[in-house]
Amino acid sequence: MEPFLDLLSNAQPVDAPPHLLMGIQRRIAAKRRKQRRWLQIAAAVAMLLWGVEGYVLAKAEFGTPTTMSQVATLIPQTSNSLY
Amino acid sequence: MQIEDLYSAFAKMVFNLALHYTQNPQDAEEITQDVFVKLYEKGEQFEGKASAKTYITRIAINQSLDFLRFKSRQKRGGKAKIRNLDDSQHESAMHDFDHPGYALEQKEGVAKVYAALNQLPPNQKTVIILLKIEGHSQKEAAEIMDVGTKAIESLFQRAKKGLKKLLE
Repeated sequence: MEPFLDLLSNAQPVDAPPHLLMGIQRRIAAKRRKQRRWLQIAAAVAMLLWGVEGYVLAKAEFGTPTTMSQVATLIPQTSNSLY
Repeated sequence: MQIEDLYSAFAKMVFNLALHYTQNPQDAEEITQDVFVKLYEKGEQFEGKASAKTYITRIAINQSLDFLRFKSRQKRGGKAKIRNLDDSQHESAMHDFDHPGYALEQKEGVAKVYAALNQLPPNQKTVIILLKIEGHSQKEAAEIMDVGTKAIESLFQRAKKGLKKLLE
């Protein structure tokens, strides 16, 4: 074997520094937090869309202006109409 | 497997592999963290330790190469050219070299070889690292790199020739 390859093969394994795992756990926790935040945003957007849908249906049913109670009576119908 | 279990089984292997690519413990730490965060994101389930080892080695290699590509783009803003190493490059390689896996008296010689190794194309560098530094068999290296054993042999011969030329 070439002497320069012999030289390379003399590497001794080095232990990974102990603080690395903490760093990894911190980064994973940050990612989880970010994921949770996106889920919360997605849920808020879904709620908003649901409300808008209710409002539009109520507007079509009762004409403007609509009251919240009118919207509320229509929302269950919205979900039932999906089935 | 939980990330902690994967870490206790493979952190040393990943860290050492990254060290061979970067020759710098700080960079190797960053790569090791990236590898385990990536493993968490992928959420792969491993059937056995052998398949996990191959898979994680592959991720570690790709992560190391990406890291080096990013770093060289930052440094030079262009791609590296293969050329013989002159004295000033040997000196700069010696200055940047901080691989803790080699004995102090070997460091000067090893730094020169690594400076040449860093000039090789990524797949040739990987073959040398897997076969000669990590001590994998040709079959294992072929599995990790997802090529045939003949391709490994040919890559190794080309890498050896390239290294020899660079070190002349």
